[in-house]
Amino acid sequence: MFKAFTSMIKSVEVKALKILECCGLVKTYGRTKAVDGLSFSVEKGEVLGFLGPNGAGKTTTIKMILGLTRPSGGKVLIDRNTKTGYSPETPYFHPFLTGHEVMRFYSRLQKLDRQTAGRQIAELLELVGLSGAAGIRVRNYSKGMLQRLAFAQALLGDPELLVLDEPTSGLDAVGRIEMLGLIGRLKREGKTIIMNSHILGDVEKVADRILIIVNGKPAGMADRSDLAGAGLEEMFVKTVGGAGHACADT
Amino acid sequence: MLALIHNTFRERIRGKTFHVVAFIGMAIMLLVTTGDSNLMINGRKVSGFEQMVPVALSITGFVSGLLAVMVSLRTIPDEFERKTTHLVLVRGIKPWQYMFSLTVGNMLASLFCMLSFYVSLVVFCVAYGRPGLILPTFLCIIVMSINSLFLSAAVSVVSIRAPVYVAGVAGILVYAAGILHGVLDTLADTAQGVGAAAARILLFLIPDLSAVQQQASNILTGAPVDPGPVLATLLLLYLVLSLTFVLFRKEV
Repeated sequence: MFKAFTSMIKSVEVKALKILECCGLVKTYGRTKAVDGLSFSVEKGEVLGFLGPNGAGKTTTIKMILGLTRPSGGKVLIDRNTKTGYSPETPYFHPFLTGHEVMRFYSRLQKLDRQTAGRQIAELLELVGLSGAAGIRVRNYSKGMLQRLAFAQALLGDPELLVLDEPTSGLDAVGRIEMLGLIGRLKREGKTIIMNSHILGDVEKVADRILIIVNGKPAGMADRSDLAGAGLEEMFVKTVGGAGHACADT
Repeated sequence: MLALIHNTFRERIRGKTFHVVAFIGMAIMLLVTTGDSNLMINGRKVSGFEQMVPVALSITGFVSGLLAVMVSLRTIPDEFERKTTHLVLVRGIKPWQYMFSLTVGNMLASLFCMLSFYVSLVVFCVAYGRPGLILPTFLCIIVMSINSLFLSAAVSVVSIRAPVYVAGVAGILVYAAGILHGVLDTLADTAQGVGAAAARILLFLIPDLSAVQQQASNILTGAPVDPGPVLATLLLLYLVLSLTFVLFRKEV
């Protein structure tokens, strides 16, 4: 019934409201523990923000959720039928393809029929403002354009769960505002989103709940009501310890 | 899987290196085989169609082998390096499907390269007044392409786990050992003990590429064709391809 992302996953029923559950996730590289006993769940329709200093284990956690790396311990529970979209931190595409060909390629991997794929590709490229650049090879794209294309391909097939790793990275001020607007729009449409970022302001704007990770361990969890009094920055500094972490709101 | 194979093939064919090497190869072959040749082997001038066939096929075999190695060298390491693997694997593609597709894509690019050499061989046949050999030339190229397919698959499989330069060296060594199979066979007969056993195992795992080339040559010259070396190479190709089902990198 459930998709086994790791050999350690047991077929435990995820509660109806939860789309994803991580229990005691551990990931070690040699003697280094990148993630150390991380447990959290994501409910349908919410935006969960992952926050933490560089090297906190955010991307490793995302890779475990997506099944790209095998946890050294713990388990990830996700319904087999959940369609997942992923936008990576550093977008990487085949450089010889055009933007349109990249979208076509991934739509074929997802086995979308030609008509649906054609419609979705046109809509998504329009949505991220790349319609005019669809015929240009991605090797000539700027970092911001690659980020937008990464976002567009993540939305192919209308996924229920979106995993966004640093979605505003490489975008200029306008692009960043537009991207956050898009995430907000998807949230209103009922999408579940996990957003990994080191930019406090971005997470604060769109997240319903925020999980702070430090040294691979959960250092705090806050929802909107917790942030009503004190700002996220204040809370983050208290949790992480402030100095020495490159997490200022830029 | 078809999308992955098509994408790999497209990437290889769009590469500049591919076109440059293929063009140089075809040009050399045409110059040597259709010009006023002064080619000498063992002090005797080589001329006439029957004598030139092995020369033409040797050049074709060498350049296509080189191209097969070059075409297949970077495909899989590049996927891991630029992390295009992530966006493929999150879409439910299994590692074996991924590696198999990339390898088949490489093989098809090598086959395409062989077919482009067909044009050169046709020119060669016409230049020697043998236009009736255009169809046998096609069969000859198909047989020759088995060597390229094997080299391409072997390099692809090695590159799943090994760095690019290791895969490249392995490809060249396999090609050299395959072409010198007969010589190595004789040398293995003279060896003794563990060395002899190791040499025998190695020779068993590396197909006799020169024998396959000889059968292709026989198609053109009308000599009897022995299917043994061709079938043995196809069997080894199957074994190498099946390794894509089990090999993958630990971290993607």
